[in-house]
Amino acid sequence: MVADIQLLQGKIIDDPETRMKNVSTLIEELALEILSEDELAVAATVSDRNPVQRGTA
Amino acid sequence: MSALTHPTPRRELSILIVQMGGIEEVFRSLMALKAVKHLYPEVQLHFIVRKEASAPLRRVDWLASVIETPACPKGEDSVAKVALWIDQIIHPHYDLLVNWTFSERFARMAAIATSLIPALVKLGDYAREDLTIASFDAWSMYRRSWLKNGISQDIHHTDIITTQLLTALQIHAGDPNPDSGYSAVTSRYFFKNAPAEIPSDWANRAKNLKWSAIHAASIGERGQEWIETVLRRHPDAGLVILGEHECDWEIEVNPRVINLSGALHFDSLILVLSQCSWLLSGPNAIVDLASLINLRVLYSVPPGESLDSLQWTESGPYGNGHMVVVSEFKPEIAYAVWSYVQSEWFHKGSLSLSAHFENLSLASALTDSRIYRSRIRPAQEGGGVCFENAIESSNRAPCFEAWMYRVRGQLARAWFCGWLPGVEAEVAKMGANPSLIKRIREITESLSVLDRLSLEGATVAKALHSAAAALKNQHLMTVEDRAVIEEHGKKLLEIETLMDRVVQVEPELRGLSEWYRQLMHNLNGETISQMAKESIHAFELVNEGVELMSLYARKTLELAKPKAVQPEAGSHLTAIGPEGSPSRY
Repeated sequence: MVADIQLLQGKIIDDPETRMKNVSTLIEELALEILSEDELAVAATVSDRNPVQRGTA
Repeated sequence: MSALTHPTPRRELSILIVQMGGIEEVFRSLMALKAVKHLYPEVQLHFIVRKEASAPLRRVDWLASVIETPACPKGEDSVAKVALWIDQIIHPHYDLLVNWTFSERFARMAAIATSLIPALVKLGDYAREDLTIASFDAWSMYRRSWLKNGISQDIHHTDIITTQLLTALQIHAGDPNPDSGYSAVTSRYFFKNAPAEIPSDWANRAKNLKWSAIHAASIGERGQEWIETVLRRHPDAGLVILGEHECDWEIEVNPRVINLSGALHFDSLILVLSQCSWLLSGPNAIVDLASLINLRVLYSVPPGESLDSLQWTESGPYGNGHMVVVSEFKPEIAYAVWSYVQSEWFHKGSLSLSAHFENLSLASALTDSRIYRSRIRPAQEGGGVCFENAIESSNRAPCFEAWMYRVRGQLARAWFCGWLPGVEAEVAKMGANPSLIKRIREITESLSVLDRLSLEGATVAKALHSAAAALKNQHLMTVEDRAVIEEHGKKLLEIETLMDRVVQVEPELRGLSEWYRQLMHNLNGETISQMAKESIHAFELVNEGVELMSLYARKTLELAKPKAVQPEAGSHLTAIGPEGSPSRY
């Protein structure tokens, strides 16, 4: 059996300047992902810091 | 033709790692990069990480840069902020970009970033223009098709990403130079020294004791019993309790126990761990950190679906000499294993672990637990970390699940490394028992059906490719041509349905159909002809897998065939089966 170089080499992109057509959509989506993660992180910090706010006291 | 057809001079290679997962994934990535930097010391390594997980990377001085995700406080224009961030990080041109983010929670974020950042060669998962997630390379498809779907196999996450990047480097940059090894990465002091504030309890500890650490949260309440046993029986041992949050265990005041849970930050944690000889922990990122700094781990992992489930091996401790106990945490078993490895220097292997359990009157506790020891396999056995049974009395033939687990891992090695094990020798080493033989016989029939289906699939895909390639225009065609293409398409769908039916009957073969599905999901061709060509390849790969699995099955069944033994004078011929027992076959 021979390893398949085509599948293992990754995607070769001839022109590094070539950007995807929907760059703005991707940036919006990435911002949303980061934003929602930040909100989750803030919520986790608040609940760790203050058990009263979690309703456990 | 690609700009990278000829290997790039190594010193010019810059590699961007996208690792937006949890801290345990960051540690595994560092473990992989340790090997890469050792073999290709000239590469410039850049790392993208979420800011919450960036602390360890700041202590690695051979990373060229560490890029954190931007903070997006509510109310600010997050899109503008992210756009600016992307613009800043694309300033240097990367030769290779590898997305190693695996955890479901962060996979989408990392895939989008992977699509946005330009690089000459990309590996890992990315977001397509329709925002679905696909993979650039075979190892990433493998992770998505098998590891994400809970199909167990014996290749550790760290080994997967290490092999993925090293293979890509070999293709694009040429062979590594083993003589030029970068020594800093192999040192025990992996992280550069940073002034750390050490709690006075630890600074003033008795230095003549041998200290072991216990991670409280991942072990649970019964960890206290383990501590009490160690204190009672080992006057030369000191114990330190670690954890992200303060734990309120009621341990009697004793200078041999120091509770540092909730009291350490990353730098002081590294310092404390590096001064311990063992860490007792359940599944937690601290296990990956300990592996990274060569601290031996006694890993306690609850059984999965069954006691013999080996799913935990994909993310267990990495390196030589770690011990793993699979069972609900039992302090007496953890103590027995810990005390055995503590005294290894003394008995030097003359005492077996099971004898040690017997000495402690704990032999019966072994019935509902499994104990393993980790080892880095030599390259001729496939390399990477493996976990071997540490109880010699259970050095019996594997159960079917363990057999499949090994065979699946070997399929991946054959597919992606072009490496074939000596099947006969390996099967002989594994052994066989009646229940294993029975299950293998059961799958053999399903395997032969899959063999025929994958061969037929390749033939139909070839016919489709020929028909489509003969078209003058891929979009405009005659009614007759269209009918021929539709006919081939229908046949392919039928074959896929039949493959799914085989897997319904024999779910242990799901890995093969998931692999096919993943390859289909990642078709890149824009025309019918190109896609048909990729489909041929997909069926051929599945067929290679089926054939290798069938070979393992055949060789294991041969082990069970009765063998004539030379009769002693006056005795009759006897047929012996596996393990020397009279054959039942």
